[in-house]
Amino acid sequence: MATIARRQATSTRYAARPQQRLNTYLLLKLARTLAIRIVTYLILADIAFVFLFPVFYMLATSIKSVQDLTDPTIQWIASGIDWQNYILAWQAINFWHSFSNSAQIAILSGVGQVISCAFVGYGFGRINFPGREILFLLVIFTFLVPPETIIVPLFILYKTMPRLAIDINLASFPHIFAINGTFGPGKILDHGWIDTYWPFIFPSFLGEGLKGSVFVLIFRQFFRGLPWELEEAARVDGAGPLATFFRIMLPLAKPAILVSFLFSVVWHWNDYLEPLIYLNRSELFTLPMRLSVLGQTLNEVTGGAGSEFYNEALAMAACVLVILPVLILYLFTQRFFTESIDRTGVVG
Amino acid sequence: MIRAPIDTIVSRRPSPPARSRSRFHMSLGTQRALQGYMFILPWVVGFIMFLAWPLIRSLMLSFNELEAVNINNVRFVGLDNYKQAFFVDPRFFPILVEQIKQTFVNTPAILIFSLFVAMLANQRLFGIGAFRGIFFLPVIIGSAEVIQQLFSEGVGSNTFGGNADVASFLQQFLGPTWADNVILVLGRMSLVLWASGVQILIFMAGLKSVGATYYEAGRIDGATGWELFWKITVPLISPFVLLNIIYTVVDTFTNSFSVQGVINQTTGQFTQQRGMTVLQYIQQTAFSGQFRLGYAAALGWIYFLIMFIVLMLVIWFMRNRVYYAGEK
Repeated sequence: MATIARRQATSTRYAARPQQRLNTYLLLKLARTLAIRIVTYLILADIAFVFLFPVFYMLATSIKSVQDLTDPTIQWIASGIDWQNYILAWQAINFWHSFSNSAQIAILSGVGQVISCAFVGYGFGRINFPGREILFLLVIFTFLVPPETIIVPLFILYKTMPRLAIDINLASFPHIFAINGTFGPGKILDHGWIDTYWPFIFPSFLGEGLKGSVFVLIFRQFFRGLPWELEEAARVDGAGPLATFFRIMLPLAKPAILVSFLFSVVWHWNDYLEPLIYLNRSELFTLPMRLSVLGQTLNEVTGGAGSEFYNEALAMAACVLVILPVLILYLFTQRFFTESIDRTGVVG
Repeated sequence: MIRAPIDTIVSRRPSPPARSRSRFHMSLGTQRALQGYMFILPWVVGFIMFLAWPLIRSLMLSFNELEAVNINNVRFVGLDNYKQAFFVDPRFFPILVEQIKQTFVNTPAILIFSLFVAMLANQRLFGIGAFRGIFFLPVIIGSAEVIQQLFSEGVGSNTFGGNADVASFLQQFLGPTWADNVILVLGRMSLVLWASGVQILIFMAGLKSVGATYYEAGRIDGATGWELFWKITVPLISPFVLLNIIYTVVDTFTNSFSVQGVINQTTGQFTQQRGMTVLQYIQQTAFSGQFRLGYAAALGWIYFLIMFIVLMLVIWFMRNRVYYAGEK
């Protein structure tokens, strides 16, 4: 906008108009640009408000005391900060324990998806082999299949999955953060992989898992955008395909790795359906799952007086605690999310 | 210094060891192909294990029903599960219709809104990065459970149209039938906004890909901003529109969260409640008590086929309307 104004201003100057009229013209242009700016900012602020409203609401409500909740004169600003909600919510959702559960699932699956999808994406993006296009169509197809359709056979599959030779129940990893860690190692798995974290982590290492096809697509597009001379140079220097991938291509793929890892972690963190089906024991629950059993656990924490303490403010405090970790992560990595498409060249 | 003739220099180089022409010898093309298969092997294994085989098994299961709570003890029932879904079960069909309705209402709304926001957020303005960060926030904190808590507190209906004044105003001027629909759409708006994070990003990338030269040429020819938008922007970003439609349809269909607007007929107050999604219904059928795995598998397949048909219809509808610049 501004450049066009400047250009038109220059052209008028060359037309040798009187200085007086030129100034008025420029002034009008400036006023118009300014007005458009202001309107744009107003619209942006309005939309931003709609997006932030739930967050503000959560924060404002979570610090209200019982008196504030019932007081009709208090809408947004509480009369004082009532930390009691947070203390109770913290105990009721068993924060450190659930946090550690969520983090285990999200980080291990994220690592798995990044490694496997980079590997596979490289194969799809850089190497010609017969049937590549059809196989890639199948990758896209994977994205289209709703989890509903395959959830039953998957459940059966995991239930009948043999206990791995290395007897690791990831859930029984020592909880370094756990304050109320209620169980130790040595739990016997009588339901295969049910009540372990393997159903989330194992498929991730094979390029599947939660939205795995999206990450394959990201890496494929990213590797395609790199210059073709890289591999030729590597081959001339005698590097095999694996060395080429790990020593040359992977270090170049840092933007794609970072973006994929962040998205994978956040999606796993927010995932609700799969944990609900594969995890039954409450000590394995992820943070979001804790919200659905909030009333019940509150009862346990307060010794049967849960309904006395359960209110809107407490629920909102629990919500804040659940989203806080990803919110903090987002604060520091926001650019990687909003610039993800530019950085990886996924579309276009 | 006397230089040796070129050919002697060349001949002095150690000659490469002669390739043994054994039966293991492969052409370069075959070698590359094998390398390619090696790289995608993990995905092939994962695809067969966690997608293809479950999909086939689900199809097989949908024609059977479990005799006891034992996976291996099944009875062939033919199309009974499918018949039951459409003609006997009173609950499944309304849920399915509701979900399809939501997809058809939400997709255009999400597209228009995200294009609008992307155009605003693509400008070079001070502090635009912060706005972009805010618009993407729902993807970060959009955990289904958190949203459910929020909506059960009435946050969604409060943002738009939940105001009783607005509701009664609309009812006065539009009559109850129309007003209810308008209020429902308004109430849905906040959900629409919350589901458009990724779409905004895709549109922003699309808008960036349109060269400034097109606009300049258009402006020189005297086109207005409105004309520039319809004649230049829309055709050039049409591939992104298609991509976004597909993403939105899939996203809406695989979403485990559904909100239904309800209007209280006596007070005119608009509230939202959590609707049952097909997903939850399938989960209930399969896992909570009933263990009707065959029926659940049939429901899953019906759902999948309907989503597939919707997607194919969209692609068929868009096939002549998408403009691919250059070789794309």
